[in-house]
Amino acid sequence: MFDALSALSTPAGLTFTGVVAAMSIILWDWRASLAALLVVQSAVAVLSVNLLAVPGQWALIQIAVMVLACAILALSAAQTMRHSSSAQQSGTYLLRLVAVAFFAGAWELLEVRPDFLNFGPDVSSFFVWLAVCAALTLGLGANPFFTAVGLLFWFVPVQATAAALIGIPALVALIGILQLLAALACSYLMLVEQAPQSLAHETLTDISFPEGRDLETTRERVPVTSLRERLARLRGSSARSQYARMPDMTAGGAPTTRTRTP
Amino acid sequence: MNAEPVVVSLPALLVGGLIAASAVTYLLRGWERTTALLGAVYAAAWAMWLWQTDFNAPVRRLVLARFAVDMSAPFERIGFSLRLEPGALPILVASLWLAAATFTLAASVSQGRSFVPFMFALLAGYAVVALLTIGPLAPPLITPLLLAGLSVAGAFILQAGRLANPAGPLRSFIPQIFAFPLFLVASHFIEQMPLNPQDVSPAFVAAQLMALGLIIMLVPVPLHGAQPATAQTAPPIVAVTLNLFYQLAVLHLLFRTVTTFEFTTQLAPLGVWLTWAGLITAVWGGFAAAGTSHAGRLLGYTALHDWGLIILVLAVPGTRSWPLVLFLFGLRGVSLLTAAVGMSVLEDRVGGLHMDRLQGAGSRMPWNSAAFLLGGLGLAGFPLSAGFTGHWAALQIVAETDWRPAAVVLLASGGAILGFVRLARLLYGPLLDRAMLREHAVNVALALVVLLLSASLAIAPQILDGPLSQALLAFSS
Repeated sequence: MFDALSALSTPAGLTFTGVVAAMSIILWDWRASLAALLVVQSAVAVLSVNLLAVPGQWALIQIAVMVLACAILALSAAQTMRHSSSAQQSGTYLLRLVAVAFFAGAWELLEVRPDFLNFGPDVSSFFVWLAVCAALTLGLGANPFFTAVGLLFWFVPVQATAAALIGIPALVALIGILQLLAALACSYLMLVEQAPQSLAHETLTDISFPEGRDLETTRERVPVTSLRERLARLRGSSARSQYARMPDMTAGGAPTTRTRTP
Repeated sequence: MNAEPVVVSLPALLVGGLIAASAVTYLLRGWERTTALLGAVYAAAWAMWLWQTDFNAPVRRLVLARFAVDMSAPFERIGFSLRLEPGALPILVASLWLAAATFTLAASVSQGRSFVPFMFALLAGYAVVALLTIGPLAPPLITPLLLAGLSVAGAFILQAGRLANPAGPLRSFIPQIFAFPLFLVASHFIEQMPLNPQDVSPAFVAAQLMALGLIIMLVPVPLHGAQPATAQTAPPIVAVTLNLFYQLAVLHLLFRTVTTFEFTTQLAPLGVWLTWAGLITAVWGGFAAAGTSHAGRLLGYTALHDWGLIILVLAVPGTRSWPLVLFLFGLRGVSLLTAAVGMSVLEDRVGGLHMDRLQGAGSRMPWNSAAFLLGGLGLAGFPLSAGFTGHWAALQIVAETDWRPAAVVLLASGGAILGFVRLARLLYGPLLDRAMLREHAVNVALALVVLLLSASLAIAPQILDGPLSQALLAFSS
């Protein structure tokens, strides 16, 4: 299998993979990012086997871990990315294109040709470019999905480097576990991030909470009213509205800070 | 008939016991208060039992049990060997006491039903880190990877099922994931060193990588984003506990690294980097605290300021820095827990920690407001608070080398104090929301206990001398 894909480990193949990684930043779409991650992981696996003498089974395990991590992320992304506000706070296509072009231009102008750990200039440059893509992805937003993508871009060369340099199976397994754990945490945070939005629609129908949301806690802000007024409102509204007691409220109508089981 | 008791190794019993506690408390999580109290008793019992360890008589028979525990026996699995060494003992005992204290606090104010079971699981992970003696790589080189994993796991506890902005938990594991590969690459260069002892370059590169990795693991400014963000959105006691767990483990990692690989301090400018990282962190934390409009972020930034001072002291050359670092960390723990007690009650009763909401809350919750203020001021080194003596001693030591950083840190402390003075005026100002709830008697009692503890440390900081000297002895052995 790795022989059939050996074109990916040639300089042209590495350039192609680098462009795929950059395109995921420019497109900023969850499906494109997951596809890019799989392409990049496959290319690095081929490169590890053909150029860095990493055992084929290890490379296959790395691909399997990435597929699993992408599946974990896809499950949450399919539910939440359409409505995610934080995913849309990373600027326009043009801005991201300019950001990528800036780094690519600086790379060429400064003639960056890293060569470390006896990997050769092509592989070293490719790994550094993946690290740049990871940093750019992390720097362009605070969305859990794209944070996971940035971290997975970082994990790809780290896995390959650890396998090639140290060659301890337990270590490769530990990094794989960490990779899956990070994907799982980001996946969970994606779901949690969306939950306040679904509650926001419900509170619009609730007469107890007309003043909008508290931006810090994304809970509904309680208007300052007298106790008598609030008690009267509570008696009236409890019979009328099915949303009278949100899960985040006490019987008195005040939002609680009680936490829930994740 | 007297049968020979079965002997188990301490690491197996401790880690297995914590994982079992995690499983049991998860099943019983519906009884939140009972679980928290039982967890507190369990953690405190472990802490007390471990503290009495005598390394000269390692086999201890358990009362009412048919087995004995070998305190010094290793526990080996998949290339990892866990063993209790004197240096790990204070870390374990401090972590267990901290867990016991936070479980007690969680029994009075809910921190999420999963807090106790998840915290036990996390505690098992930190115990593995502390007990690790042999691994696929030297323990200081593999520990950052394990800490990265624990930080990722901590994100679930920090979010605690709250429907809030997840920026804090999300940021809490990014620096660690970026830092651990530096240690792995450093291990490659360390392996190269014996091949050609005349060539210093592998040691030089390894030292630079480890020093950079350590700086990132300390999470100074500008990598600090998680600290104020989690203080804003996470349950206060959870945020404080995870912060202390992680920072204690990082201090232990730093100590192990510089003692195992002495060339790290000789071939890399670790001291200079620590000085700058500490200075920037202390200054930014202090000034940001002065300007924040959220009580949670105020505590987060003040804690950041205090952490900056600890990093600054770590840079002080010589033997005086570690006792002072441990002293500062002890005071930091007390101040943070004191503040967290008050903050959690305020948040629970008021429904948020934005300054607008806290107007007049001090008249309804005087003791918990006082605990929050005194704890926060302790982190800023305010006179007559728990942190004052530590800050004063730290500033004196820093000023001996160069007075300018000490002066800037003092100025930044003023910023943090200003933030708390502003909060005090708000808390004890006129009450706007007459429907605001009062504090319960249990909360008052807990606030009084932590206030008393803080005040005692402010008046007689030598209370900490005993535990600190034992910790220091264990560290240096």
